[in-house]
Amino acid sequence: MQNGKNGTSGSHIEPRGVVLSKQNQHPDFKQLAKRLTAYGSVVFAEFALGGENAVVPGTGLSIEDFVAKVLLEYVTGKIKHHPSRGVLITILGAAMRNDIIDALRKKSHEREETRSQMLVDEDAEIKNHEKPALDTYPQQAFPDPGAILDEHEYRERVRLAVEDEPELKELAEAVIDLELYKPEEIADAVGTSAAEIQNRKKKLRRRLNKQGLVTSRRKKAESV
Amino acid sequence: MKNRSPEEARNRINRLSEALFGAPDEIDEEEAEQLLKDAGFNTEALNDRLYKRLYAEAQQYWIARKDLPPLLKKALDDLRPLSSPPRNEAELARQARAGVERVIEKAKLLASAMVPEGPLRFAESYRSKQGLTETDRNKLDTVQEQLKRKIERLKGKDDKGR
Repeated sequence: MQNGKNGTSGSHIEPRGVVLSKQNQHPDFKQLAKRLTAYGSVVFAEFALGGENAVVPGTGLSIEDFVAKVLLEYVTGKIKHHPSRGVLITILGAAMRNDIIDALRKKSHEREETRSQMLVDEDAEIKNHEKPALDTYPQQAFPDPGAILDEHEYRERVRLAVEDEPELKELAEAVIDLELYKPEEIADAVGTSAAEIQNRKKKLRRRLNKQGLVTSRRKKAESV
Repeated sequence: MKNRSPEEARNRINRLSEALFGAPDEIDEEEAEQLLKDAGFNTEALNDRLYKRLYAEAQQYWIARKDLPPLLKKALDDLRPLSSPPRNEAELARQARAGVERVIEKAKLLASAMVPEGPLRFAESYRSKQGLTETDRNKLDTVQEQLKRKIERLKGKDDKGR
């Protein structure tokens, strides 16, 4: 994750960081918790997990657990924040995101030996279940953590998630196919403004949060 | 496909994610509220549970007779549930204000349910009633006018409150 220092965190949207109280430069923790949880919800949705009660399969860890972990690490000094490293929410959000990915990856290693059985089970479920629709999200069947962390699979899931929305499809193609990462670069390629790209990202977040990125195997099964 | 270390693979996905979905600081408070609402989160309950976790951490310091780290203290102050007993006048005032706001919200809801939405119409059959003097009619008109103004005022306040 880019931490705002050398990443794509530009200056298109205000306000950016978490509001710090003037008295002692401490953050507003209610606001921080809210924004971290919202970001956690987006990250969970990226990996086909979603909703308040969603957990990383096999770990039982929820968004709230990850938020609490980074907040505790921050308030007890295990995560230190200095403004030169970027805004606080980005530092904590990046730490939380990495924790979520590590939890998923750990589970995928543990599952490797039984993965083929899991795929068999998923196939059976897809066959037996009347086409699982997107509206069954967030409580759809467990995603496969191995596939979820595969970059190729990730790109495919993004592509499938936006194929019916031209503006979002343009954004996804610029990032996935042209490997453009900065809003200004994407805007140039798409022929719009950087602010419009930020709007599309916002729209994509909301869509993702509602529907999640569904695994391409599942999506193909749905379209049959 | 190249053989990448887990960290490299993670960083690549993170880079894609930030370009597509944005960095954490791109989600402002208003959007956060919307996202949490969409995902079915109860933020008050979430804050209460976070408070309990932080409180449990604080207990370790109290047991060890150590001072709380300032950030932990601030987090406990910020996330302290309104239902907790107030520890000082500022908290008492904050809880009282929240209590009054809740009552006002309920009253507004009640008022909006009682006040008619459409244009006001009053029964005027009394005008043809026999035995009414002109003074009586004037008094009834005045009462009607006062009632009308009162309801209009209530409606105006209710509209502003929405």
